[in-house]
Amino acid sequence: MKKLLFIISAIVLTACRGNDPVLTPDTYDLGAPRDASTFAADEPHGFFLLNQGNMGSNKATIDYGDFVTGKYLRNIFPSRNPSVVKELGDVGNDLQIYGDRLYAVINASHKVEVMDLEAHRIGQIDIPNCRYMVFSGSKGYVSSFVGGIGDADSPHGAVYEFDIQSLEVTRSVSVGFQPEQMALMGNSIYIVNSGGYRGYDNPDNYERTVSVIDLASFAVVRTIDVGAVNLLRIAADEQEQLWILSQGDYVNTTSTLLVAKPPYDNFENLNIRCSNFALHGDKLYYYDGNAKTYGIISTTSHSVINTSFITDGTDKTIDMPYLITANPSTGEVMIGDAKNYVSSGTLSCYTPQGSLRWRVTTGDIPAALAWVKPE
Amino acid sequence: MSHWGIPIPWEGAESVLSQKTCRRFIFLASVSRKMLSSKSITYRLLLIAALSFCAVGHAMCQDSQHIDTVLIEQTTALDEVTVIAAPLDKDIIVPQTLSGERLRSMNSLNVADAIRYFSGVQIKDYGGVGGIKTINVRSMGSQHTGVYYNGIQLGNAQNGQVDLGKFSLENIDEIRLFNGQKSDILQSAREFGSAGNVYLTTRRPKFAPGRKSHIRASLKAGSFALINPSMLVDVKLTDNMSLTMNAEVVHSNGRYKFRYRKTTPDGTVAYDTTAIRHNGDVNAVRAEVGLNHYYTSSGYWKLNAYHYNSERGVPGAIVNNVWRNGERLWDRNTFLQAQWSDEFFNRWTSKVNAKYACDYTHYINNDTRLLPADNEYLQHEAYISWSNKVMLFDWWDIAAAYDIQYNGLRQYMTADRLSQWYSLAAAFNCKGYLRAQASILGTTVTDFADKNKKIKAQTKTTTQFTPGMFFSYQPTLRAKFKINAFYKQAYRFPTFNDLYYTDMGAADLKPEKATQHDVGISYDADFKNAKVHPDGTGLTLSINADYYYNKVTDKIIAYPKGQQFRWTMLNLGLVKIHGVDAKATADWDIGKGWRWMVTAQYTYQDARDVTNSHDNYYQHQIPYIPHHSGSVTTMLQWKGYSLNYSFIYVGERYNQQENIPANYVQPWYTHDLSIAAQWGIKDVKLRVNADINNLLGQDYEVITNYPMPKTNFRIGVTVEY
Repeated sequence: MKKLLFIISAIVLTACRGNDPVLTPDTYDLGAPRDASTFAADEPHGFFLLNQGNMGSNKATIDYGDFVTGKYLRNIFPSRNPSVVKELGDVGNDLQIYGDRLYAVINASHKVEVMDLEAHRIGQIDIPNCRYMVFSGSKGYVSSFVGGIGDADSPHGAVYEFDIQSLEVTRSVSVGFQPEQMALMGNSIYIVNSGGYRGYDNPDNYERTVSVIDLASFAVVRTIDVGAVNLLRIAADEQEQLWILSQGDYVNTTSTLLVAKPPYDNFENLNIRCSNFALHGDKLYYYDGNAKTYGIISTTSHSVINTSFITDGTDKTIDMPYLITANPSTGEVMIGDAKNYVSSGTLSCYTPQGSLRWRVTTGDIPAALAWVKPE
Repeated sequence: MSHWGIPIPWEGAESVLSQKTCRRFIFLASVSRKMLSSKSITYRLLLIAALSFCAVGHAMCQDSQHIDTVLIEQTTALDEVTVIAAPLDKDIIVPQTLSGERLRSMNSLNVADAIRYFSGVQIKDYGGVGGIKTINVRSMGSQHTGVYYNGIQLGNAQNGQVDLGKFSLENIDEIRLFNGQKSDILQSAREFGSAGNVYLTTRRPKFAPGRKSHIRASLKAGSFALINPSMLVDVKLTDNMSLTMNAEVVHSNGRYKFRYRKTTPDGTVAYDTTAIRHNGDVNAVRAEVGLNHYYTSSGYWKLNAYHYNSERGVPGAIVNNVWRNGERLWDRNTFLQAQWSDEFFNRWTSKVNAKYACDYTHYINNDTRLLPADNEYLQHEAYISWSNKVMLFDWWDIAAAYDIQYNGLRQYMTADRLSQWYSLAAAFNCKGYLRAQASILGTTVTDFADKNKKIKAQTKTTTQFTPGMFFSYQPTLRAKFKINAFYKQAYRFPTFNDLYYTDMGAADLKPEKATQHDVGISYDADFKNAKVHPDGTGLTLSINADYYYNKVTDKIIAYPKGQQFRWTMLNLGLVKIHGVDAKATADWDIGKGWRWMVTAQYTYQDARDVTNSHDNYYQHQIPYIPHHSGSVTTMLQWKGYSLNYSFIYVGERYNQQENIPANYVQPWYTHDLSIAAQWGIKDVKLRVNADINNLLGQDYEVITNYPMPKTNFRIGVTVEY
């Protein structure tokens, strides 16, 4: 009996723990392969998807969808960069392609990862608690919750400027509390402030402002009160209108969409519950994660023209919409489903008519998508 | 005598007087008024079962009854009967026990390190001396396990978790784990309420003949700059009354090397990096004072004051580009507890437990890059319990208990709760062949509306009833082979965090329910043949195995709300757990001062999430529960010297719900070796321990991104007078 136990433990000892290999991608089908000649001139040949991963899990991952081969590769970073210690990082928040490079904001790893368009690592820029990016000329601009100004318990946020060649931070400017997304309008950056940390304990402390940064002087030249709290997203449409998403305070006020025409003095509150939106032409696609509704707003009339653009009933199979973006050429709408935040999500592609074209399994919490433009 | 110093009628000599009566039936289960009025089918069935058992049992036990009565009144009758020595585990529910020399020789620093060797148990360990360590028994979740310190539950109404890493083994004499509940039905009502119970018992003062005091001083030191001095003084105030005082300090800088290594699929090194764990330091002081008075052979009272004060770093997850974190935690736990018990008319035993506890926690996050946090939590707990057991016949005991407890949380969150538990239980023993225990517990929890404007809660009262039934059958008294089975339900009520935490809590949560079914066998063999080996040498063997099926329904889980990253708590989980615990122990008294002991345990668990067939983790193994785990511990002793070796294995598991490669966690197994030597010079005892833990320096994680220490060392010196 005892001998047997020792034999068992000896087997266990030698048999059960081998090498720990880096993860290799899983492959899914996106549809039939397409010849490059069948793409429209401005039509993306593919896209990168950044999955957030739950905080502390170190599971930010990048997937690649290739329309030419019709393949979707899940989690390409570790196998293409096997020597990067602890892989891509913790909590991916924003993904952009600028020039011939792919940039990923990894929030809880406090860095922007810089890659080529095959997702091979080029370098990184260390920026604390970084959130979103925009690019202009030879510079990238990253919003961050940490600006170092104000009292130590409640620092203002900042925008950091980095040089895309040297990957060094060149300038920074302090903005409001916990700033989020930015929109580049000419020589100005419009950045929304959320006050997310301050409002966490007291809803009265959420921010309701947009800071306007002049790129030349890199100073805040104007602060606009938009009349709604806890701002997360901002984007400009074709008519140079600025659209802003207010998340509400989760207690007394609900989320809503705001819009203003130049010079952006007065924001109109559309009183539409909204969790995220995407602009395409004269349409704004949005969803409300509470009610699980998917609607369209006309950017010209500011009125809701469709309260449920998914027409084939597959909206019922989306548990937690987290990402929405439109294919700039085809107008197809991509919706990311974060499920329960701690398991694989999905990415669904809807035709402009609202029927499901394909759906693939993503990493945990699909959060940002970048289109690969034709060369 | 039971382990608690309370006589149990059938513990001790067993009479074979009533051989002809044989199968004495037993039943159990008591009926409450609430049960009668309950519309629940379960309770009606239970009631019918209980009544029919009662009738059968009564009829079958009838003819032996007068003999029992005679036995009690005329104890001289015992002289005429053959007495069969009772097996040590007369308990219906056989606990897993670590005590005495076995416990001391492990030289573990805290309760969690020792309890890892129990079967059916998973310890969540965030690493290092200061890292949180919680116990999960049979995959039901840590909040279903009650942890009792000298008989009274350690509570945490805020998060329902007890950090076993904070409980030093320095003054612990015995750790016992019961699946289901304790055998002795004289227990507080609350004890019936957990799915599994861990009992920590401190040393009872012992004095050498003619001595009025006992002093022990010890010092442990080792890796991570560990320094752990402790002092104990026992004073004999009268023949029956003693005072015990005990204090210790734990300091560690918590620094240790850890290593992450990955390979490419062809086996070449992808990365291999070694770093040092930061912010894992701990400074803790524990002081305890106890006063015991055993005023008669059956009556005693005890007072126990406990204070623990600590500051520690929370080392945090190691993720890409982040190698240190800035969270700090201060804990101050104080409690005062009192116990009294006595027996009246040789039939009625009464016990009162009372406790007041005050727990203060201060949490800050110093990392300027993150959400600044500076939160204080203050919890108060007041508890009183009265339990009674009456021996109706020498084969039938009944018990009733009532407990009431207040919990309050202040400062960062405000919450109040009044809990009441009321239990009825019965235990039967048919001449040692068949034993049974049944209990029914009512739990009423009232959560009071919070005046804090952030929380939209209303005063709410929830009442739940939970039965438990335990059987143990021994076909013949001569062979120590037993079959045991139990069925038990238990609820865990939502914690204050579940109900109220910022906007994440959900005040309308229902309690989470665990249902357990268990069948097991055990066999004790004694090869000590006094005729062959009159010196008492020989071998004893004990083997047991249990199969269990547990179901956790209305599992309380965090679920996303509609907005960005806002979570809420829901009663949305359903988990089914099939498991096997097996354990074998051999104890060989070789002679000439040599003794060899070995214990091997193995646990198989199949714990699947069956909440929703549309989930992509439907029927997957739940996070952090390995299919296979086990341990082997062995001790070779020669007079005052002992050599100990322990091996622990925890198999592959997943860190999230989906069983996919991205969530895979490698198995881990560590070898620990220790030697101990003890010398006595007149009245002075000197003991020296030296340990090497994780002998082969395995780089492993119990929780993903929380690396554990490589090989580490500890030495200890204890002087007793």
